[in-house]
Amino acid sequence: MRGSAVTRAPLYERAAVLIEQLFDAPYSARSWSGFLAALCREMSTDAVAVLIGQVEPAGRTLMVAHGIDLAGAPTDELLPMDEESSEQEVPVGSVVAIEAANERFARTRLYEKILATAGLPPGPALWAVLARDPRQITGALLVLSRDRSWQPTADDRALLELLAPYVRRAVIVGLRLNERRSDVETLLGVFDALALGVVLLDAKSRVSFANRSALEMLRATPGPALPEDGASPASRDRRTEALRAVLRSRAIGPRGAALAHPEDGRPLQIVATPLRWPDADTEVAARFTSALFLGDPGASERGAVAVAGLAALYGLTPAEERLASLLAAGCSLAEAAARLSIRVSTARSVLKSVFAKTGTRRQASLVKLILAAPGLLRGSPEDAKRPSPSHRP
Amino acid sequence: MPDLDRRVLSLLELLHESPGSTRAWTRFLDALRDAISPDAATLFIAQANETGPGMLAGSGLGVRAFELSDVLRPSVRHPSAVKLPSGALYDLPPAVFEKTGLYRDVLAPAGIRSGPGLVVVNDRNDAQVLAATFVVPRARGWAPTPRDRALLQRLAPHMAIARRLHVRLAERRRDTEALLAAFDHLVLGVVLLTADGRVSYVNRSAAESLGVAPGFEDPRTADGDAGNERTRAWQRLVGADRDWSRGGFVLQHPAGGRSLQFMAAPFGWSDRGGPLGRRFARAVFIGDPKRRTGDPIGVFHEIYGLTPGETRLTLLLLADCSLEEAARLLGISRSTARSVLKRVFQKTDTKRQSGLVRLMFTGFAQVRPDDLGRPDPLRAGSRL
Repeated sequence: MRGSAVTRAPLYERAAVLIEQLFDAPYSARSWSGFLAALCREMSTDAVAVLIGQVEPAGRTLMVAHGIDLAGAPTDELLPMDEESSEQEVPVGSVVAIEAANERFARTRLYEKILATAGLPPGPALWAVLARDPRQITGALLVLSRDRSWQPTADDRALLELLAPYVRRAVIVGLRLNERRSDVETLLGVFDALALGVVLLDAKSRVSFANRSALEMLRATPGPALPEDGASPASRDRRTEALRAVLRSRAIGPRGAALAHPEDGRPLQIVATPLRWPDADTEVAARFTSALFLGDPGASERGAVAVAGLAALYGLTPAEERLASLLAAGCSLAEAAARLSIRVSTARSVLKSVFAKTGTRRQASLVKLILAAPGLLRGSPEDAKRPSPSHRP
Repeated sequence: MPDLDRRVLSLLELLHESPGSTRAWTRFLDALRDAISPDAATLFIAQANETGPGMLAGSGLGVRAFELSDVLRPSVRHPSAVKLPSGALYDLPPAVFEKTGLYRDVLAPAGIRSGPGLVVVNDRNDAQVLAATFVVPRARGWAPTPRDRALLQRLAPHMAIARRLHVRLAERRRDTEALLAAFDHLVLGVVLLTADGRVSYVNRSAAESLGVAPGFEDPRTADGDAGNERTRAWQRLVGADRDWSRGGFVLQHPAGGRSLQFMAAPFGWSDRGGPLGRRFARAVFIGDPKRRTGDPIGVFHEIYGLTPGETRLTLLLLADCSLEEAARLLGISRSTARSVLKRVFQKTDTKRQSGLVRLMFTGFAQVRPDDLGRPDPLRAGSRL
């Protein structure tokens, strides 16, 4: 029901209300659909709004809509939105009014692939340009209506003109926030590749992250990263409890501590360090305040896994790899030979060729080569394709 | 009041210009002061949580960090004690405000008066106000008008939203910084590459292998040369278009001929594609079997109780000497060396030299010891 202008609030006030909605949570798709819905209500009862495009060069293509279902809609063939618009004609931030049955609009891929199939007429429409390169529009906010009698008013156009720069800004803020969250997840994923246990603690010494190795050493189950908004975790965190059980109120000296796991007596090595980045912002709270690095000299299978990675580097044969793996896991040559059901003299000659290939001369050097190297990465590639249990979905 | 609305909108543009940036927030405060009166001052006070330090930004005051509790003591009615929702606007009680340390130590010396003024609550948790904006007189006789009140009333919800986004962005940046700082403690070299193969981060161990300064630089916003230099050094060492599908390789370092082990981490995040994770698209680990590793001297003594003599022998064995070589270097007989080694085995609960190596290189020797417990002032790195 497009009422007469009598009851409408002033344009600027309407814009301010929409801007509030726009910036409420620009990183969430739900917040965007809420904004588009509110914008549509300002224009026409049957309005449809589509926000589409790349606001930054080579950025992610966004597509959110109100009033049509985008599920299954193609995304990549839609860009650019309009291939023949000059910069003088429609600069970024400008709003273009498209009259009814506009042929040029009807030829755009956006119209052909999505709007036409949704039963929308090729105009009238309003089109706010959010991004473009010299020749074409690459990002836009489009409003049109299923109501064929709808005609956008000068007021509608003015409202969209007021909003356009804010929409662009909110898109960028949303991308930035999502990118930063993804950075954090990515870096946590890097820790998951290490055989060294890594536990990150927040300012209250609660575990905010433990990599896969640390979880194994602590015999803890994966948990979510601490809430990003700094709220207290809903319930007791098992990882924190497992860590406290292992430490049993022992202070970790400047060089670390060697202690036994309370359950099975396995020796664990722990080194603690605060995490500081130079000139870090002092104003905000950190989820990751300090780190504990955990070593587990008794974890024998891990040594075996580690060598599997190194075998490719040094061109070890499977037999050589098996032997090196057992030695790195702490076996003597005789023990390794027994485990492999070969004679000690055979084992010795296999070892000789391992020495030759790795450029080492002694078992201790070989073990060091394996353990001080990226061989310390854990897991096979197949293993790592699984999503890490420590990640949020 | 279309004039007021227009003013609100132009202030909003500044408010949302660059969330996460303290400087942008200060620009907003200046514009707000200009919109109200040159005789007023605008201040923003924030504390991210109950324990962390706070910050003060204001027209004519710049930005400074402080302990919020100190600054506001001995205030009896600290604004945070007042049960006001985020976005609320209220009159500043001058009698209370001028008793605060904030007023006495910071604002009064800067020529700011204690009232009459207005306060907008920008952020709060269950217990207290975490961020608020103050408008106070700089010249005698200034008092907020109904028009100023209306302006702040309209801005208040937007300021709360902007503050929330600011905190979110800043926290995530801080998280990223903390995680990168953790890599700096590894003996293992860590190089993070962008999707187009440029270096975005090298930790300290990798920086030593590459001969560059350690640190982070976002290749998209880089204006310095550090990132380019790291990328060039990286490409000199491993080549510009190395095929990482095989996982890893061994390279002789051109200087000194040390053999370095390179391994790309087999991660599954690349399928996310797009700009997500663009700064960190691939991690490569560098192992240098000859690198001076963690400081086992302290560990041996403090944790395993080795004597200086036992420690010296152990260190030589860890540095790739045979027992004979170690005995010769220490000027002791082989049989003495053997009995020293036996005691070392006993104290460290190991049975073989390779076991001793294993004991160190699965834990302690993986962590760089050089700055544990204290910040490194020389550390080069750009802001995220």
